[in-house]
Amino acid sequence: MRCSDVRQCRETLSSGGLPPEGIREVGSHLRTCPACRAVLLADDPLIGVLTAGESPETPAHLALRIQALVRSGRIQEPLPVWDLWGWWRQSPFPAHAAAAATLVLGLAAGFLMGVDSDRGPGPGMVGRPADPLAALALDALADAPAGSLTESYFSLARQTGQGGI
Amino acid sequence: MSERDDEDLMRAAGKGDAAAFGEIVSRHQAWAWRVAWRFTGDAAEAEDLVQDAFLKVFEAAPRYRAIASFRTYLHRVVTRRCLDWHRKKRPLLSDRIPEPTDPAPQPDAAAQLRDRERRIRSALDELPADQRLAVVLRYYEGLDASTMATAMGRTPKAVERLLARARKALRPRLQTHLG
Ligand SMILES: [Zn+2]
Repeated sequence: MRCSDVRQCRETLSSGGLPPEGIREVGSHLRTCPACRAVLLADDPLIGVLTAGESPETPAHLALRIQALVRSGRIQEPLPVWDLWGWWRQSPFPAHAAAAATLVLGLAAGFLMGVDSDRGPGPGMVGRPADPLAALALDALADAPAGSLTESYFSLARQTGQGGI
Repeated sequence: MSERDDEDLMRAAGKGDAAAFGEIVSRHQAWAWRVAWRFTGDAAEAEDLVQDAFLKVFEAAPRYRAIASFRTYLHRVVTRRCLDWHRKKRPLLSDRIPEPTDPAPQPDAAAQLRDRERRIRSALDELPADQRLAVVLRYYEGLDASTMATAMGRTPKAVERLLARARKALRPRLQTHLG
């Protein structure tokens, strides 16, 4: 490769598009031609990485090693993992809408159940057994606002964080 | 008889055809090896990385869909394995490249090359992994911005920004030592 050929490659070296064989030829020229090296590196210093030596040949045993593993059957098809993001990207809009609706309904049901538990026992529930946690007589739970189980846990956690329990 | 294309071979591999997969490995191992070796700077690590990448491809073969060329798909798998490798390990590569033992005042051509190799290796090693990978794909493999973007899961602009940052970081070292 002549100096003029190498200098013509300047653009494609920096922006991509030169095949690896061409790149290797340029690299081999740059290793021995300080003039081209100075010109090309002034524009783009990263071209300097080409003056490193060639990469070694692909090890002859590499393909055999991979094929032996494949043929041995030791490669297991991984158990399917529920890939939520993958599902979302590949699913049509009605599936998105159904998933969103299910999520909203679930949250609403959870919220309503929480509200219901704040009202105390209804007329038909007078004989309902006491909250089993009350039997533990934990002060932290007794202090919980409004007495919902979730809030009790949060109250307990807060006190634990403050060194309470 | 015409040569089977990569996508056809992958479909066969997905049905358990080990010979078809062997053909895929033969065709693409050189590219994968060069990228892994340039990225890691270590032959044994590069071998493991390439093996791992191809085994991932084989595992995923039953689910493979030819929405892009197989080569594009492989680029993506190999670049991901490179970045995973970097996250999971690692001692500084420059530590593994021995200093020249004979500081001769007028080194011969081979010694000069070794010294240059060491400087470039250590300069590349100082870059963050994604910038180093971008340098390898662009300057050693000649990939353009859009191919690199697909391989690295970024936009072409983001790829060019990575290269611009690498250029800025390495300019003083490469120009002083190699110019
Ligand atoms: Zn020249």
